[in-house]
Amino acid sequence: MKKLLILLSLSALTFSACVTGPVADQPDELDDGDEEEMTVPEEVEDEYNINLDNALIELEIVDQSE
Amino acid sequence: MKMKKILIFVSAFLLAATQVFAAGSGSGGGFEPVVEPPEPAPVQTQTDAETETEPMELPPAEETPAPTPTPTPASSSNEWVAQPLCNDIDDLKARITCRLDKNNEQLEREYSQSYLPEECRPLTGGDQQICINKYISLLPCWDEEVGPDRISCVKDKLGLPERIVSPDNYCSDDAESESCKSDYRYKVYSLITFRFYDAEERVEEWYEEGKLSQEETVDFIAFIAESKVEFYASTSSAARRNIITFVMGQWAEVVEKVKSSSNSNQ
Repeated sequence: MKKLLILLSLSALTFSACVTGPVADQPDELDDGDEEEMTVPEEVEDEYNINLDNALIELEIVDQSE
Repeated sequence: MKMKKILIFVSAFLLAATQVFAAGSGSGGGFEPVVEPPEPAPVQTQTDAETETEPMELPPAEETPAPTPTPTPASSSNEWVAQPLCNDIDDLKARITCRLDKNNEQLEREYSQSYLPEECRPLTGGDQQICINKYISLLPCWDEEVGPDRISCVKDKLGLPERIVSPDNYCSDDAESESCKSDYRYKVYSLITFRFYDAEERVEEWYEEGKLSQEETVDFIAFIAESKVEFYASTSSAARRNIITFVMGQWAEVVEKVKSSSNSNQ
């Protein structure tokens, strides 16, 4: 009877470890994920282009943490 | 156009040089060098609508002593009296038309008395001076070619890094983080509005080359001037984004006109 209880306990422990293991790991993965910042492309040398696309990216970069 | 820029720079520099430099211009987000305000007369010509606009996120304004009155130039030259200052005109489009009608010499004379970019008009006191200083500091960048060189110059003069990063990253080591972030944002907004300014100047060149009519030119410059003021007055990123998008649309229309005008002249 005692052996049966030990066996059941070990099975339950193994089962719970399988279920909770990967979930418990998830926050760590999120924490160390350094999000790469957006980069503004090189300015275009063209008299018809004032690079306002770059202005939109610059705005997004500086306003993101507002 | 470069000549005009040089004249503005020389005039603004002389105007600044005649004033006393602020003593101990220590901390804060102002643009160096800090110069004393020009004569107050043209500054006090704002319309009610303009004064209602609240600027956002300006760096802390440094205290500027009251300007000392100087003798009127009218006593030494009658021509000065005959040439009214464009800055004294209340209506935006009339002011722009006035500037377009002046030659380089007349503009030089005007700027030596009063240099007040449209973006700075709705501001008052120290905020206005910071705005004017910013414009003066950016004038050498007009000598740079369109594209990366010009924008690198602007970043350098504004004290921005070559690669624009988020305020969190830029101010990560700053003890006064919030003030650092606010200053940084203002500088990046200034980089953005410089692109508007760039558009305005290119349109002026096309006008001088006969590719745009005076009416088209005045309309676009007025639109850009208003967009810059609205951009700083906006309280949300979405509103600022809309302004940039709207400027993009108007710019595309002007470019189309210029291209079709160039094609028809060939």
